[in-house]
Amino acid sequence: MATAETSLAGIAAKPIRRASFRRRETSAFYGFLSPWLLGFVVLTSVPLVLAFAMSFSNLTTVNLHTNLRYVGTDNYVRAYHDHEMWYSMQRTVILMVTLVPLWIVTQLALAMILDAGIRFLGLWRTIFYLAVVIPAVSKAFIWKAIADPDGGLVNRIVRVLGGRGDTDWLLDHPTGTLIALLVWGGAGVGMLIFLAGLKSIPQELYEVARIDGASAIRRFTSITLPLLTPVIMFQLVWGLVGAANVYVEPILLSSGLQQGLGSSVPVENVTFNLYALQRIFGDGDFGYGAAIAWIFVLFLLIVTALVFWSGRFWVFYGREQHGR
Amino acid sequence: MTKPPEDSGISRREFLRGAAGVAGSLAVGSLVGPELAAAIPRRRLAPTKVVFMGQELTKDLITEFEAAHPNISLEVLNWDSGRFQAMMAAGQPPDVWRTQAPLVPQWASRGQLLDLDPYFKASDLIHPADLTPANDYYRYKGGKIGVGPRYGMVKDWSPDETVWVRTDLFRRTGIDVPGPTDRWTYDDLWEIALKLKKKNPSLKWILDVANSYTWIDRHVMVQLASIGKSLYPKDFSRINLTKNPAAMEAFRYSFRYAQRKMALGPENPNKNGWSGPDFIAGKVAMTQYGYWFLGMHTGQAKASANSRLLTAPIWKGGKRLDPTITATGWVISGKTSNPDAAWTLFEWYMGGKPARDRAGIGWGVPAQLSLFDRLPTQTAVQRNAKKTLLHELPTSKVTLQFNPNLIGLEDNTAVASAYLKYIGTAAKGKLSFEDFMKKVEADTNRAIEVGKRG
Repeated sequence: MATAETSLAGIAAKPIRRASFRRRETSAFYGFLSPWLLGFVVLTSVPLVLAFAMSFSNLTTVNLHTNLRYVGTDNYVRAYHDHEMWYSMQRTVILMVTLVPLWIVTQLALAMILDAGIRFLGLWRTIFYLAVVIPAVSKAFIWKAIADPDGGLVNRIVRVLGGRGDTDWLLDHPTGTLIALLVWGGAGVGMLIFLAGLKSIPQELYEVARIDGASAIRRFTSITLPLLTPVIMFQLVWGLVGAANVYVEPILLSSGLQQGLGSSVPVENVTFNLYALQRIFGDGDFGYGAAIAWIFVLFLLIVTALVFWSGRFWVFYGREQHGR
Repeated sequence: MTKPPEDSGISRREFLRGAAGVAGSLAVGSLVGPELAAAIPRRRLAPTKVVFMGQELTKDLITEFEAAHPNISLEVLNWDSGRFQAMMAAGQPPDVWRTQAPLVPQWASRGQLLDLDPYFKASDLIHPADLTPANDYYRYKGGKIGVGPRYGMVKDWSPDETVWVRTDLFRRTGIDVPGPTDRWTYDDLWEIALKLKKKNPSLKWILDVANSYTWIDRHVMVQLASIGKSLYPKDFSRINLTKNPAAMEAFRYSFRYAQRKMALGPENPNKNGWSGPDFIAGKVAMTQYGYWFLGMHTGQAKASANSRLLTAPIWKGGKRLDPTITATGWVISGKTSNPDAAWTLFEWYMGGKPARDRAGIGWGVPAQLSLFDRLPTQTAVQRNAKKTLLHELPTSKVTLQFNPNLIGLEDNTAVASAYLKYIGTAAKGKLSFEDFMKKVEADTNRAIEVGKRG
């Protein structure tokens, strides 16, 4: 009887222990999450809301105590009529639609090279990932040296190939040079993510396909690509947001870092983000800059939503495997 | 019903002001990087703490100051334009900061600087009668620079239209080097530049025009002032450029150097962003810098032996004019909670031992006339520079009228920013000079509108 009682007590105690375990798990979860959550709220969410309020004011660097007032939607109306803002958005869209496909193709290609079991894998992995480790400033200076019109590597190669080799790449082709820098600099991280995706594809699928006589191209298009679509979706969203947020590299690639905030950035490389930055810290026009920044947020939300929506039609999440 | 006392609540205006202040400090941080949110300094904890932003106060100077003033501690922030702007917008500027002449009117006209007249009057270290005219850039009253209360002073200065030349590059090509006090014009300068370019085709930079264009409008303002013209109308409501033939001619003059790829700028860049190191290395033939550039020659034997400071060229039909266009100095915030402590730092740096030490190293002309006898004369280049300087001093007593509606910039004005933005395209011929100037005018007027609104 005593045994039965003990056993019953044990059974009764189990849910309590489970609940307590769950509570501990939940506490631990929020405990670990809280530093990020706190940072997100204090440094991102609250400022975003306050910036939204600021976008309805005429705040500048000098008028907080003298002439600050509510201006309604004036800043947004002004932005609507601001041709330069639309031009910077156009340049940003160009950057997004060229950079993201180039990133995805390059990253996937590098990942496939590493996944193919080549010799000196560690060495190649290091070489491919090296650009990620190099600070942005150094990367930009390396690229400036490569693109230098006088003694730069690119012009030397052009000369060897019989061309004139006197192109000023940073001035004559600023966006192309910027894209090249960004593709090189941003390939490493995406490569690792694609590599993880490739490693997760069951090898049996390839074996079966080989037995069925599928060519390498067929295996890539029918197995690799469909099973990588969730990773591609992630890379697409990540890439679009990353490309839209570019503003440091155009400044670093410009000729004079001492000449104000990106003053000497060629107009073709003035991205939407940089344009907002110049309005805020160049003109000291905080209210207007905040409005532009919020237009940028809305633009990114729409683009991201469209990408997620389009995922319904091309992203394969493997549900069929579970009989659905 | 009892009406609540007026000071019992917060008005809508005060609320908006407070929200904007917080937004200025936090929101901008989120938009352009969390480092800016962290950049807003905590409000002073100690009543005698002074926050300074600039690059003058070295560790040794800080130690020296704090030892001499144990009741005042310094918080020194390295100069960072974005951080400074965020602090200003948030209503928490540093107590004391470094600045240049064109930026002073934007703050002085909006009551953001401390009137230092009472402090100057009571000072044992700095006497207003001893101050050089360059200090007048820190006076402002009723829309005019150079009159009214003093809001700051220069740490040092120079007549900035003088030209440093590399005599070795001149001699190598058989071109005569003008004497240190020879009278010459901008046309002469152009002719010399053309000859240098022709005989030194491999020389990448012949003349640095206006510190790689960052001071382009200031140079043009001097050229225009010499013929009695201006870039701005009296109310500073716009910039007069495309319908101002004199201004167009002045800008066109500088633009010609860019077109021929003789200048230093976005169309023909160097790695440093300014011509100093390349001039010292003998890679730039001429650079239009003031006496202060003498400091760059310290310890550079070859450069010192081959460098000469020439007088300011004269603009077509104009009189000899060579004012400072930078007037780098310090101001004190009108919002400082410790004005006396802030002044103590200011007075010590501007009138104490640091000022005496600075006067003897060649990095600028002292702010006080009484320190002129400390100008260095040990080397030939120092003696030459002093000779040219003394020749220029009578022509330097002009105070340019910078536009108080141009706000928020660091070292270059909105005009220079716009110039830098389009010069690359224009110099390549992808934009006509007229269209280039139209764009500069439009960008500047947009910036002026911002200043007028706020």
